Amino acid sequence: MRIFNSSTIFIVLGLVLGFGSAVHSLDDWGMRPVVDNPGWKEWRLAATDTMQPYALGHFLASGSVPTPVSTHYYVRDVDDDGNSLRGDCIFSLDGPGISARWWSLSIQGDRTQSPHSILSAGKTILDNNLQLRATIALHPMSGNWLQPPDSGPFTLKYVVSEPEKGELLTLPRVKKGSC
Amino acid sequence: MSKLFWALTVGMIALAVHISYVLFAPALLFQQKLYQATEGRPDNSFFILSPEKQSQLFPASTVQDVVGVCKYDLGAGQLVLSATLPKTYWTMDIYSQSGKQVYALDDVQAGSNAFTIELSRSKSFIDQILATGDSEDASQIENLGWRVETSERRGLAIVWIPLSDQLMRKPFEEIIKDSRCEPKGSG
Repeated sequence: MRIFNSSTIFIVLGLVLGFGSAVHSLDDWGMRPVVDNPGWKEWRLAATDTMQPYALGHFLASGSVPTPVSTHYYVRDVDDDGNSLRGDCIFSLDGPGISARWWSLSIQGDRTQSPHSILSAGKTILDNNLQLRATIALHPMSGNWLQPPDSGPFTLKYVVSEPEKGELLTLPRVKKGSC
Repeated sequence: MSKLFWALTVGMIALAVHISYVLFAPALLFQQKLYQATEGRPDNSFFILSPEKQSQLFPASTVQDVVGVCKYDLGAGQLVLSATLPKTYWTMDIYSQSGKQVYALDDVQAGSNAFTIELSRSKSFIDQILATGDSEDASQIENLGWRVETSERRGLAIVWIPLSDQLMRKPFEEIIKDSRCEPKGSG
């Protein structure tokens, strides 16, 4: 009877550990930091990537198909100094314009919500040096402006479709301003 | 010795559950959420998603883009996708139900904004051994634009037209609404 009890406990422990680690890993293990672009992470959807099942599982479990192979999908939820992105602070974005067939930069509050505010190719003003500069703030700002859904945390999503071959993508840096 | 045995047992059970969940549970969850997102839409028909649903199903898109979907089922045979698309950047991606992308096409690769793709199930290993020739395939390729084979019976074909302004959505919807997705021979 005692052996039965302890074996049941170990089996349940194994089930809980396996299930818990699987659920947690689908959120984290499929992403990797983007080299030379601190704060940005990319989903590892290439078929040759050993972590691809986790990235694929993340998309499917949330009711989405993975982004097409021709499209790069980057996300970040911290600024360059590691502070969480929150709607009650002002953040500035600064980076080179990207040569690609298409790109969009959007803000997502809750993962289940649609992107709240969007900058995209053909709608965004680049400066004289072809730099993309934008401000993230709750209230209207001059120039390119992204508005968070509320004062809570948010995620920046950068989708780049078919970048020019050979171009090393440099993603915008994000600096915190006033809160 | 007993402690080592139980530690190994816990580890093996955890590993088996972890791998099983990661490989199989997401596809099942996806089927359930896809059914909810496309409720009332029959298989093998082309329809345009609402802005709210499209960025959930296809995260590369935003609410201002146009996303058209065909939820296919090859159980009854081959499927013909006839697309009419605008003269702008677009992509067509075909996914199996397990989330694997089996085909991708864009406006430059297609070279035309009106084309046809025939979708069928790939032959099993035994079918390939028993096949006597490819005369049937050759005659079909003559009549249609592209042929795509997938190993899974169900999946999704997605047309994505990214737009920089939500006001452009309506006119582009008008263009792609004539696209078709139907079993071969029914048109």
